[in-house]
Amino acid sequence: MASRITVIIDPDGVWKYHYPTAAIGFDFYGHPGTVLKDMKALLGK
Amino acid sequence: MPRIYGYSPILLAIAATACAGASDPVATQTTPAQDSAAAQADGAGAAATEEDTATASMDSGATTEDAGSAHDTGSQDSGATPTPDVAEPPQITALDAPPNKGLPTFSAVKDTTGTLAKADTLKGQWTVLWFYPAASTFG
Repeated sequence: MASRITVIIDPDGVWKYHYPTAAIGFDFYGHPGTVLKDMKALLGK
Repeated sequence: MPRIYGYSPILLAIAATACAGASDPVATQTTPAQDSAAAQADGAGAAATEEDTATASMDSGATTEDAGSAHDTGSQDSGATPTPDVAEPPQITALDAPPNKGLPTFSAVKDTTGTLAKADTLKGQWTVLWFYPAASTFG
């Protein structure tokens, strides 16, 4: 079960992508650094 | 599995989970966008490396055109079949959201400045939301 969920919402208010992160243990999945990297790819920058 | 002193069952469970984190199916799960991108990358050969090279070039201050032109020259010299000019989907690690998942209406959330945030104020721009049970908790 995820303890943290990071969600990317597009300008229309639609839930586009999400990162469910494991409940125990530090996980880089959904880490702000990876999220920003994905946002950079989404925005084409 | 790392050596744990004390042999506390809680510590053993945490260590086992941390060791299994590398093979976490959630972390390694790929999205359909990634699968199609991987298929295209396999066919193109150096497409993925080109993107990595372009990213590294951007970080070092160099232009991406140099990396792109070098790649194009290489493919022409080798006589490989030119790949169709199709925009590749963005390489992201996120999972696709469940279908028909719109932003729920909320109005009782305050941002870091204390301003009351509403769902309507988030429209018109890309937004990253993250929520968790409590601060200073795992995850």
